[in-house]
Amino acid sequence: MSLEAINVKGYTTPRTFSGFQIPIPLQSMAIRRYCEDRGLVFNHHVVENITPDTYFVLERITREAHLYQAIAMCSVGMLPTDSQHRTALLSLCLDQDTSVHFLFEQTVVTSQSDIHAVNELISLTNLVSGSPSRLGNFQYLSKYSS
Amino acid sequence: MAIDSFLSPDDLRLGEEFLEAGYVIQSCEELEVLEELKRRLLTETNRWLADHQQLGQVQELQFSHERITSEFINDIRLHLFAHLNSTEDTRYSYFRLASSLIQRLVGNELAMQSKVNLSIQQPGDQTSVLELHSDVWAGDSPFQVVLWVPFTDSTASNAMFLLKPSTSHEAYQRARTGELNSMDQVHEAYRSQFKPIEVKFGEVLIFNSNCLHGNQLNTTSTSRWSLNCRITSLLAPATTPERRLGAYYTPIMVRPATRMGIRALDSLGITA
Repeated sequence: MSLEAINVKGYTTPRTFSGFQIPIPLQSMAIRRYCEDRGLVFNHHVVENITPDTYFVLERITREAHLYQAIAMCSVGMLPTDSQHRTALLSLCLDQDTSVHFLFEQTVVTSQSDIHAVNELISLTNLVSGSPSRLGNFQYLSKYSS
Repeated sequence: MAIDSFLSPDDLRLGEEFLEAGYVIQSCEELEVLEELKRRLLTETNRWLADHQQLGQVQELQFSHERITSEFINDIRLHLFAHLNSTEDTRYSYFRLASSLIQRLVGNELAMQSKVNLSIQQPGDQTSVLELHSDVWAGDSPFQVVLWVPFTDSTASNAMFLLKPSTSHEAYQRARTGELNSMDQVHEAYRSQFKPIEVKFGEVLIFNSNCLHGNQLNTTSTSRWSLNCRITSLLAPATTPERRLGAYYTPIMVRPATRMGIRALDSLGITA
């Protein structure tokens, strides 16, 4: 799939994903920069609903994927947690000749094998996600805490 | 008699050495791959020099400072970084330099940092000095090792230094209690214990990046060129979102049993 003259729809979310809470303007800026670096045409981003575990906006843009040549978002962590739902949405994009770009993972889905790889990556990440996430506090910081 | 570990005596000795010293050095496992990587670095450096109308070419990396000034060393480094990481085979080639050693130390299901990093330490170049630090203090996984490979002999002040695990642990405790309040104080407190790790071209170094390490101003007469990349067990916990699988590391060895397990979880509709 050629990457020349590709219109990219940006997809952002107000919800936490992959452990991050990234302001939407920064997500959009990252997608815009990603497009500029690759000679892609950035289209104004859409914003997912804040309701957890819903993907109303993602559903819409994937149904309308034929309007663009690509959809870009920050991370695979923004996709539905259910793998069948995730696979269905990504497949729907491919059926309309639309690639899906994930900035943090530097991955572009253009085929079913790419979908499989993304699913496997998410499964592996979920396996190790319950992890020691806090390093010990430095005692001297207690002088500054209220 | 109960057997505590199924590791071979050689692997046990290797492990003990690594845990005590914080590093191991061994011969490169595929010298021809190392030579090819070196050729790529040299060729691409000279291509940059020619494209930027710089006089002369670099004949040997250890004398790169005769052609590359501080003014554009970072431009070259960034260019080479982008070039190396533009093809997936670079990471594969790099891994092959110490594939068996890595598996003996880390395991046979692995994830590797998404990019291979380049370090160039030319004589007198203060801009390339990497101050004392510990990767884990900066949020990296405590389960990762660093594969560090020089393309020139690294000796004395053009080598990296490392504080052994017990010393690094002591420094961390002193920082936690507030006895040491800045990296400058840590640096001063342990300066006398900085020990350069000398690694010849043709050898590889694997070190524990939980240890405090860094490099000093190169006061030798030769430049040091090296690559480094982090490797961790595939199923090791991630300590921060930025250092998780996918964004920072990518899987490079996934065994059938792991694939079998995640497919079973998926079939059952279980997300971990």
